[in-house]
Amino acid sequence: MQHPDPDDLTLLAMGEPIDSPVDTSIDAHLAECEQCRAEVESMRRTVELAELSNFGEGTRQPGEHIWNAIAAELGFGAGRTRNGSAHRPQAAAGTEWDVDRVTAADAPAETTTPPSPTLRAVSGTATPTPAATGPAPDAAAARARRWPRWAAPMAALVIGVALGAGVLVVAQNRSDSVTVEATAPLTSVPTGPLSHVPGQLGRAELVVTNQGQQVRVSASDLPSMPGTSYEVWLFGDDGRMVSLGSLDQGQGQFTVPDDISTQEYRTVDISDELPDGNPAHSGISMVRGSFS
Amino acid sequence: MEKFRAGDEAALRQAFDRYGGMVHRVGLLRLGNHHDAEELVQQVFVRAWKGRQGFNPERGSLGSWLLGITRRQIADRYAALDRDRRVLAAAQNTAPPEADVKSVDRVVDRVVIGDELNRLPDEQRMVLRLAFYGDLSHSEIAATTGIPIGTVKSHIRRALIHLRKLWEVDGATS
Repeated sequence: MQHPDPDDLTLLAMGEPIDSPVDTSIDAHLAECEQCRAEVESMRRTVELAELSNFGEGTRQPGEHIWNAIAAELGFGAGRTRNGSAHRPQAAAGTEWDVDRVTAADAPAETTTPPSPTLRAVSGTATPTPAATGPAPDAAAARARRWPRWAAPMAALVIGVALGAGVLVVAQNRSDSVTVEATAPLTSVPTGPLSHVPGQLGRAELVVTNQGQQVRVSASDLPSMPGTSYEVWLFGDDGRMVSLGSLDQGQGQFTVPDDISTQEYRTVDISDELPDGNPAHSGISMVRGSFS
Repeated sequence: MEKFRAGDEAALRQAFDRYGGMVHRVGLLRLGNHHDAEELVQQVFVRAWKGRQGFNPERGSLGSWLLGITRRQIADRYAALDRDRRVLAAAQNTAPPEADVKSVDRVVDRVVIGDELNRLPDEQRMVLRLAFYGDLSHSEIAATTGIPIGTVKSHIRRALIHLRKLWEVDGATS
């Protein structure tokens, strides 16, 4: 039996009409030949899957923080403890990008009035440390050189005072202008140290004040452990993350940076940070919740 | 791959770079949100590392082995979810929804094929793109690109045979 041209069988599976004389002879052949029917059928299934696959569009490499979490969970880095510095340079390089983005976006503001004090304080204190703890990307090193060691705490202090004053003004004059846009119940992260703890462990609110958007966090149910601090992050839906600041006795109120859209950054994450001066997310997430 | 079995940490990193996106994509399509997908990626690679002695290169690629772990993780998650649904349904006196295991396989296939489509030789990929997205016939593709019509046909066939191997022979779906 003479089988049809395999290319024509493929086109048939693609759903293409073939020139009619050939087409009818292929049809007649397929009615008799199980082998060719199976060939067309399996090709058709491949075509369906390929069409549904969108050419892998929307596939994204998971963020570096995921690798850091994996490495931390597996204790990679020559048997050091979880705060060991062996995998830290990688961790720093990983989230450095996030910090970079934020810093780059803020860069012009360095010579003008800071529009988002909280974040500036965070990235300001954060940037010098990678250079001090290990090999850091050039950009970070450059920033570290630009900022003397004392500048960041000083800036944080000044900004803290300014922010405090701002909040005071809001509290005194415009306390009625605070509206809650969304809330997020915070529950334990399944891969984190609190995975065995059920139920809600805190709450985050996205509020709008005349000073802009704020995230207010209350999570006093988190275990208090000496030597660690809880840091509040906003996760974007594309895997980026921004540090908002640290909780103070389970409470915190943070200004959302101007260049961060809360349409895209909707998840609040609280991490357990060790006092190692590393600005990157430790990979140890305690609780998490998304604004809805 | 041997390095992976031997416990070379850099090999896991390589696997993460090569297949992390696929695992994430499967998670995104099946679990529906970015954070669950990321958690899935973490679980899969942690589990893969801990169970690396179970990986046999002779039985399939590292990719299909990782996707096997991915499928089981998702199935476990659905089993747990299903239990919750059954409890809820019993409480509400309704029939619980069916577990959806088959479609996990299909999603895996789709993601694997999407990934592979992007690794095809340039001309094959372009031809398939025009056929699928542009909805062009082989003769229209030939006219648009100037590639001879016979070459267009053989590009389509070769690419599809290559893709078909992924779910028929490589064992990505088994």
